[in-house]
Amino acid sequence: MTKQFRVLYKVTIIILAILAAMLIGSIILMTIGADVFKTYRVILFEPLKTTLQLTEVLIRAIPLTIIALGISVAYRSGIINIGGEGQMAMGILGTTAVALAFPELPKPILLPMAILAGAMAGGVWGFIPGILRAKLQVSELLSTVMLNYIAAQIYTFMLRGPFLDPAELTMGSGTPQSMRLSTGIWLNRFLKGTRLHTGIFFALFLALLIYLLLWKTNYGYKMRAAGASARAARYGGISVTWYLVIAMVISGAFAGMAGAIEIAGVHRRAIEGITGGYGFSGIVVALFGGLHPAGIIPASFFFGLLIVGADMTQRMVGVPANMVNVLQGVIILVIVATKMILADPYLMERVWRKYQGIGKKHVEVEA
Amino acid sequence: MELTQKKITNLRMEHITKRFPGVLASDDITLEISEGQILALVGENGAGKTTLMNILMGLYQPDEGRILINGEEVHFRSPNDAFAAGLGMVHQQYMLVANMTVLENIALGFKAAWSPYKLDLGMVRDRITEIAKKYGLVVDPDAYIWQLSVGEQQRVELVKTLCLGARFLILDEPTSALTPQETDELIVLLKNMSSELSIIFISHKLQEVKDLSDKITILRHGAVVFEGNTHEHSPSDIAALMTGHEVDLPLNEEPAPEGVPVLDIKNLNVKSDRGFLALKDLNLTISSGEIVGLAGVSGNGQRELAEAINGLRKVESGEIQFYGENIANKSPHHIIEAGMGYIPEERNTEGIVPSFSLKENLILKDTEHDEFSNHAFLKNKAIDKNAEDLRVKFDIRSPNISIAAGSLSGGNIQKVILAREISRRPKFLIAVYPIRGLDLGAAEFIHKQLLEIRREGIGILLISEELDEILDLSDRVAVIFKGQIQKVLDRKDANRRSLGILMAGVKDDQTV
Repeated sequence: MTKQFRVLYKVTIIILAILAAMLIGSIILMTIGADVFKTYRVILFEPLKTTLQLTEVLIRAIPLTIIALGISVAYRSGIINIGGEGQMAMGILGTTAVALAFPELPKPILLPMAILAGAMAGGVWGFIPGILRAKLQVSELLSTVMLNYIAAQIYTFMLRGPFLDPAELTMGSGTPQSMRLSTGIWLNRFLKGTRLHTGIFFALFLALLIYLLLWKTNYGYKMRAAGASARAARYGGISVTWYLVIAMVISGAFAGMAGAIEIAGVHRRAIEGITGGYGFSGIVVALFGGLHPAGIIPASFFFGLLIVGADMTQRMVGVPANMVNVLQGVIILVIVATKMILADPYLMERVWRKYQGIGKKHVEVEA
Repeated sequence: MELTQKKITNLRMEHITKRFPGVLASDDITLEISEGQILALVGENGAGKTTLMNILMGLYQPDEGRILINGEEVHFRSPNDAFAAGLGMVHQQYMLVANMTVLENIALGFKAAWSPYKLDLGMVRDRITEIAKKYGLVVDPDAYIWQLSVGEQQRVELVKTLCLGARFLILDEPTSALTPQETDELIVLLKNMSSELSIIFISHKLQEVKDLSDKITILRHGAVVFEGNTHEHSPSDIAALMTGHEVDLPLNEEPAPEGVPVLDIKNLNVKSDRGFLALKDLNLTISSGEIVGLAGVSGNGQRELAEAINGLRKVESGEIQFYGENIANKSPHHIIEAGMGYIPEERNTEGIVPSFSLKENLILKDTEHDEFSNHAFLKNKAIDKNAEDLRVKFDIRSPNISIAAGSLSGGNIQKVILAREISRRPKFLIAVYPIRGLDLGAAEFIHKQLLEIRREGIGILLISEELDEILDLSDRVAVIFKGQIQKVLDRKDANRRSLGILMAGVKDDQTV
């Protein structure tokens, strides 16, 4: 089998997978009576038409990237973190608490402190399922999901109680939210007329950091070994449970930082419902990106596109934004199927023979 | 391809050639087998035996050549086609669902018993009884797979293959996981079955090739180097042909060293996975520069002993003195750093991380050391160089050092483990079944390496079921039975008979 054929084969499979996902999506869209082509066009291309829309896509991609990076660290170390949502909420609370407590501090001190507080709060929320799994063999699928609920309740409590905006008591907009945070934690919006903030550079920096951690350091080596084969790692003197806990702390800390960046860059206050499913989409982005920073960055851009596109379809075509969640689900299923197909050497072998057969016939015809 | 019930009176593979990237796996191979014959397909690891059989079973397609059954050319596009033609293969790894019964496992592939809403288990049961009677293959249809020994599971695989209509059997290393008794039983069984059908079996073991086969085909580097009738050749001729040179497994003929005790195990108690005491007050002392062979039927505490010494299993009570330090219940990391080397029993799942590359596996225990890391950052150049050096020195056959270790053959994986353990310059080495399932060439290589590090003054605990291996290498032989050391013999007092009696649990003072 030639190398060109392998590449061609993989690219073809991926293109077919995308087409299959779109086909299934269009059936669903048809059942609700939507204009299929227009919907796709709006989702995929409309957000790219103006700078403003494009920056909105990037703004969505920032927290997605950060969360997905953390999730891939956990995944690579053999633990599945479904608790990104809760960890992000806790991160927002940590950042908000620091920003509210020290509003007077200058930016160079307050901003790192606030982000660190977010990372720590998220890290603690990741540590709990990590240590439960390491010491008591509690399934992280259970504990992370349950901790999401707990975090959501704490979040609501804090926003309606201690953190509640005093203005809210008098005016009452209906959405519980904190006071506007001190400008000391605001991230710069560097593109005039848009909300695009410097968090994007932070996300790229974190992507580089994770790449270096996982593939260039001995810590990453040990985490990946623990995830790839716990038994062999233990044999090799690697404390699998220890690295499991570390990976969960990193994963939680990243979700927490995603929350910190989101409020420091976009909302500038904690609002109810702000996490908006980023914790779950982050899992899809991580898998879609092949659990590698180089894949996660484009994958989060794509999912950011879907989110913005969904808002636009609601306005322009009248297709509810929830439909995009349905499309996400379809995409997850197609990814899983595609991975199975790509991992099947026999299928590749068979296609190769067909391909050769075609090649030969062509030669004969030409001759 | 339609299902036929015709007998396979003749099967012929002609000029089979198969190329993989960088490797010629099959090079113009022709072989033929007639009704009632048993063909032994032998050759070193990586000689292309399994590839050839996978081609026959339709898992791979040959690049050139053809397959003929009863003189007619056939094309197998998938294993289902080969199946329909009456070919059945029992793989090295058994394909059974552990928490289902024998009956249910066989029913899984028994298409005739399936209808849209109902599975006719009675029909499958009848078929099993019929097959069992015909071939003398006794299985309990209602036993769960997890309750069966490896030998019994293999019998289930055979029954399954036969129930599904195989009239031509391919067995890939059928005895590699069996105990000596089970092997003998299997050989008798296959011999009887050969009156009804033809068999190709892949093997490394000379003795069974000699006992069982009518014809031998020897492969080396993907090509046939010898074919002939078994009874016309002596085992040593065949062994020489298999490796390409006269096999000469090295012997430990040097005088016993005058080392000092370095590993001193006192009153060791360790539990098995199932919670009972697998080691009961075990005592054993090993000195530097000597090889102590631990003989015994597997399941008498060997695994637990190796794991306890290496910190992978909890020690209930007792001491393990290693160079003056009690390492009982210390972490595996601590014990590795103390100088312990370990070749584990499960080479594919424990000795390597299968998805990691060859070079990564070679530094599994050393990622923290300055040799391969600089302030936590891995030194890629040093890692590459280490891998290249060891690949040459230990004759690891792989296309490059970045290939996933799990994709290597068993013998090469063992060489990877050995290369890592020896190159780390341990103070002591525990080797568990170091040559199990390996061909003679690889076994010879590994034995030579063990003897060499012995000469450097390293103590070795060699755990093996193969008495020949133990007798060849050991300075002293300890016999383990039900978690205790029965007796420790000097090499001059140890022979197959004395060890056999001790392994069976009889202390010699009670018999003679």
